Amino acid sequence: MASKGNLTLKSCNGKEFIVEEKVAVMSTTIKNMVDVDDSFAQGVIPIIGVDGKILAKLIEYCKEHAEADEDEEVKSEEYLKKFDEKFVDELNLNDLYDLLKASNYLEITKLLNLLCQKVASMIKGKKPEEIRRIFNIKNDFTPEEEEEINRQNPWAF
Amino acid sequence: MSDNYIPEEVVFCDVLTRLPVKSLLRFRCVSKSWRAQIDSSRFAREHLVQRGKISEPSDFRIVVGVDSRKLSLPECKKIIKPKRNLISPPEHVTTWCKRRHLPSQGSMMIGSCNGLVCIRLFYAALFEPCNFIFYNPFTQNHWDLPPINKYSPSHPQPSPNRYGYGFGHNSASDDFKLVILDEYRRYEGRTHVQQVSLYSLKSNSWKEVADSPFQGIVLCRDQHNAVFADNSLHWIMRDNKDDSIVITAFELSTEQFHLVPTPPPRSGYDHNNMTVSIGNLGGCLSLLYQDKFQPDFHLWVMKDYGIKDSWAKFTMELPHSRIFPSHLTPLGCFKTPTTNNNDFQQVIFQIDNRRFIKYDFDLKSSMFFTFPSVRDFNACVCFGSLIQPQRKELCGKKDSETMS
Repeated sequence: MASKGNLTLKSCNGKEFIVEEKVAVMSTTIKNMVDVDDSFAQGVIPIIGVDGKILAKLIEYCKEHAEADEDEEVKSEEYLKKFDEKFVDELNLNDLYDLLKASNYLEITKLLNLLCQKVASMIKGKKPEEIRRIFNIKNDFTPEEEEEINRQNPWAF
Repeated sequence: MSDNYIPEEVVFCDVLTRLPVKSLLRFRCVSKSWRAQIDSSRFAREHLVQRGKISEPSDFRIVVGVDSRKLSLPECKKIIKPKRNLISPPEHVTTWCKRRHLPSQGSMMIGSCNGLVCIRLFYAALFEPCNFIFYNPFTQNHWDLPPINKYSPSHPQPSPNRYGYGFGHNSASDDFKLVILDEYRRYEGRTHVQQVSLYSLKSNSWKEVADSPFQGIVLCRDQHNAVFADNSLHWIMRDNKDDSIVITAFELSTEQFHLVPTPPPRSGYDHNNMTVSIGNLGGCLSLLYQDKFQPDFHLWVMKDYGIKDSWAKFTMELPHSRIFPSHLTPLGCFKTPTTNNNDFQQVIFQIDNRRFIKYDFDLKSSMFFTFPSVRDFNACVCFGSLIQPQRKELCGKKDSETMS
């Protein structure tokens, strides 16, 4: 049972994390749950579809940023920038995708923006066939149609 | 394991809007739904907003116009080939003129805004100031503006003494506009009249609006193009009374003129020896003071629009011996994600009509570059966007077609 001001988050594989409320409510989804139903603030909040490893990562990120929001003196913009850089650099591809989906579902806007920027710089220089593989997309163009698109902006290829 | 892929709506809304135009044009052939998304006008607007926060050095074009009356044919052919980020739109100029059976004689850049460039075309045998196109140098689409009736042979008018031009985007009505100032001198009262014609892309038509109320303030020689910032077009003008420099602005939604405060003049300043150029650096109005006899440059940036005290001065360590006594014009700047706060890192200037210089404020270094063999050109910097130079209903139609 979490003490006052703390919330308990439970991952889909049963791991429980006790976090400060100000850290947890960086997620708009959790904030809405707590605001609407007081029982969540007392009990355990299940985080559906997010496993313990990813949830731990999310909490690590939110903790840094919640503390910085509270006291700008302690954690400067510069410090957070460095933290963000290190945070995304250390992720492997699977974790990056899982975190992105989790931060989308939990509406952690700051983190979602950071991860999307990471994905964008990752795919910026890729070829269309590599993009299809990365995002699991089926090519529904005929070779003629594809060639026509190439012809419209040859400088982009 | 399809579970491990990012949901499409996240990719479309949050990832693709962060990519440069070049990647997006390439990714149009990923799939039909990707092409529909990238081609939609809503995506173009979202992309513009997202990319507007940064301006990467890789995602810009310097669009160059050349008055080909001054060029030989081999010179004209050379500029057709894009070199690095420099491009000239002669193909469109040529096809435009061919359709009208007119010999093309070159082009002049009026200005750029939201990824579009407004170009004035020269061709022989017609009234000159009425031939304009809006052009996206990335997608290479363009839009022909209709001619203005007031210049047509059936409405003869005395020629203005000077023209001013301005191209901008009115955010209130989401509409691109071109403004032409016709300046007439009236010698009897030593007054000037500036008549205003306004083109709106939405209505695809020209209209006349009220004359400038500032009758003693006149356009400067070689300063005919306005700079767009904060929903207004800005011209460098001179006050007839004392020859001082004035910034006259035309607000695009109210269609009213106002004056913008200028930065403090340098000490020992003499109107006659000073040249001024105006630019938009990272969304802020900027002014460059140069003295004919002083080899230093004072670059000012107005951080809060309209607030005199917000003009901030930047010092540059330029190799004076390679520039002096040329005239510099700020064309544009780059912000990178690593640039601190709102300041810019690199600024591109045009040096007279023949060279460019890229100055890096962090490294205090300068790089010169030019267009090979073309000695007289005009240019503007354009950042990449997918905005179509087309009327909204046409774009809208395309959207609904791709949605179904």
